[in-house]
Amino acid sequence: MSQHAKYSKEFLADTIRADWQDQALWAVRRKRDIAVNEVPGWENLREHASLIKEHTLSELDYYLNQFEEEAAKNGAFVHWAGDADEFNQIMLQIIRNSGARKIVKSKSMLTEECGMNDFLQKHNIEITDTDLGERIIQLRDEPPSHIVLPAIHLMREEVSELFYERLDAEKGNSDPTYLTGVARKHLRTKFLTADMAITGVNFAVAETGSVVVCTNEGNADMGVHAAPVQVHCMGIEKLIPRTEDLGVFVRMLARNATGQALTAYTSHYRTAKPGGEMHIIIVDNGRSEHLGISKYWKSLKCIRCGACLNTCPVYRRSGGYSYGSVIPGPIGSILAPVREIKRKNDLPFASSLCGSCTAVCPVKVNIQEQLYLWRQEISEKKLLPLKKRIALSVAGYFLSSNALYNFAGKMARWAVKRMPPGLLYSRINAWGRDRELPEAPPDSFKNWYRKNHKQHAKG
Amino acid sequence: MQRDKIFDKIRKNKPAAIEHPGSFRDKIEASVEEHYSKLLEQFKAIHIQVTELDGKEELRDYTRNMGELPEAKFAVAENGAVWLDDSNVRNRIDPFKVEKLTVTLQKKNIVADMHKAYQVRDLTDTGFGVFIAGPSKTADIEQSLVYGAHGPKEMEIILY
Repeated sequence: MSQHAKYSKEFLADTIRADWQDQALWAVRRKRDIAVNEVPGWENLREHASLIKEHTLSELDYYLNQFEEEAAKNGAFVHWAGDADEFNQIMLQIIRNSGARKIVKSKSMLTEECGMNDFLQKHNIEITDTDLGERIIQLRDEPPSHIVLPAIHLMREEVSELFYERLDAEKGNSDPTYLTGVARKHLRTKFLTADMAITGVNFAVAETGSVVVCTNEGNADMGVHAAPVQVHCMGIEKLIPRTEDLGVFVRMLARNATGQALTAYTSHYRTAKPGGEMHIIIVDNGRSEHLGISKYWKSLKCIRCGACLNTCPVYRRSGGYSYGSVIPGPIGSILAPVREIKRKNDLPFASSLCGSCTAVCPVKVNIQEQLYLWRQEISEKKLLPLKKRIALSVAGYFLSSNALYNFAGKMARWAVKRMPPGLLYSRINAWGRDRELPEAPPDSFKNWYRKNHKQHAKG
Repeated sequence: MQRDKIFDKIRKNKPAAIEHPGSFRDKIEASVEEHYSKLLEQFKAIHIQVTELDGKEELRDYTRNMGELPEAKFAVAENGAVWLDDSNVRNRIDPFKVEKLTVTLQKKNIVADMHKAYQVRDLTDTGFGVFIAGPSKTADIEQSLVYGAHGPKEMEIILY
């Protein structure tokens, strides 16, 4: 069984939780639809956003250069990291140079990708995630299960128990308003005593050297404006050319992610505060290689809205942890194999190819197409697990011969009609484990057509 | 140098040039009155308390005991966001650390959407700027909406 299938099975064993999470995510998808339908030019926006990203990626060196120049003019320090290790080292260096001991961090999937928290903790640096969802999973020592809603897999009672154990909250009080209040008090101290604030970047504007961060909680701003040193982390693909282009993306991001017209805060950081220090770390970590793969480079357009996760029937019913990847879901399944095709050979198969992801993607990443291309590549490179290779070989054999195909069909119809259920639903019938097989038609389509076509053709 | 290695790879790998699609032509052509009512609708939807006054005199009276209030440069009708930046806040943390954020706004300073918003304000002349669309909030606990995650629990806009 593939890794994803194995973990999904475990996830689905808890049917109550699985159903609950499925519904929670689908509710977010529905909210998205309502918000999107309020924008008459939505499809035009998608096309525009897609082209802006493609244009930027096709001139990425030019825009990165412009961004760096402008940022430098603004007094910001720009650092370049080739990979995750370099990123962590640069971060450590900035911390050491500034003497920072207490750090607050707002959401950044890039820092997850680079394993920054673990790395810094090994160097005895206190780092606190300030986004409520991220703080919850940090206290539980878990990774995020969703790129926008990191704690979507948890129920309020679990958060209540956690806060009781770790934050001195009342036992058994699982009212979200109460719990949020507990976190607010707890994190306030962290904000006001932090030496440094780290943020991610939603969009980096080449024209002005600014970075844009979108939050609902205001935690990025609380951190950045209170601490003397601010550090913004971005992958090279976060760039967009001009301030004007922000209009397109900012209109789409929150609507697509959570169904809001705009996040509560859309912050534009250009310079450090008086007396403060601003750093920007730009990370490659495989993206420049990815850029050169003609089949897959377009997934670099992704703006990390999470809509593809919310809509995906497989993600909703398997949960973020089943993917074994920093970024799960449909976009994760086409990003992860770029760097690790062998280890992530199961992810492109964690899909029904329904295409919903492609339909909701604000920048028109051809996710379902890429999933299919990956499957072909994995198969060609003989990286499929043995069972699957055999099954596909056998299927290919039957499908390539008319006689064999007809025979197989006849056998299948006979089996469904005549085979005792014990045999029919045996272990070999993986599909039938949780489903009832359809009723067998009286005849194959081919035969039906042959008989009836002649009749109709007579007139 | 790391930077050079990255640039080399990008130059080698980048796809063939694709043209920028240009400015987004938004079809919204609404009247100022329609913007105003849309704006009020949005304010309500995002949990902003609205006080409508008539001119500077009333404003002075109403805000007499409120201390110094930031005035938003403009508001965006499509989403109820207001723009604050270095020119109208004393310390950048001020709009975030208060329990309740109160902002004033002139009724004439309304733009239709984000495209217009980014044209109105030249973002290069401020070191920090923010669109604020309501009080701080989160739905991280079981998707239950709660106000006042880290920033203000309440927000009021005084229109004059």
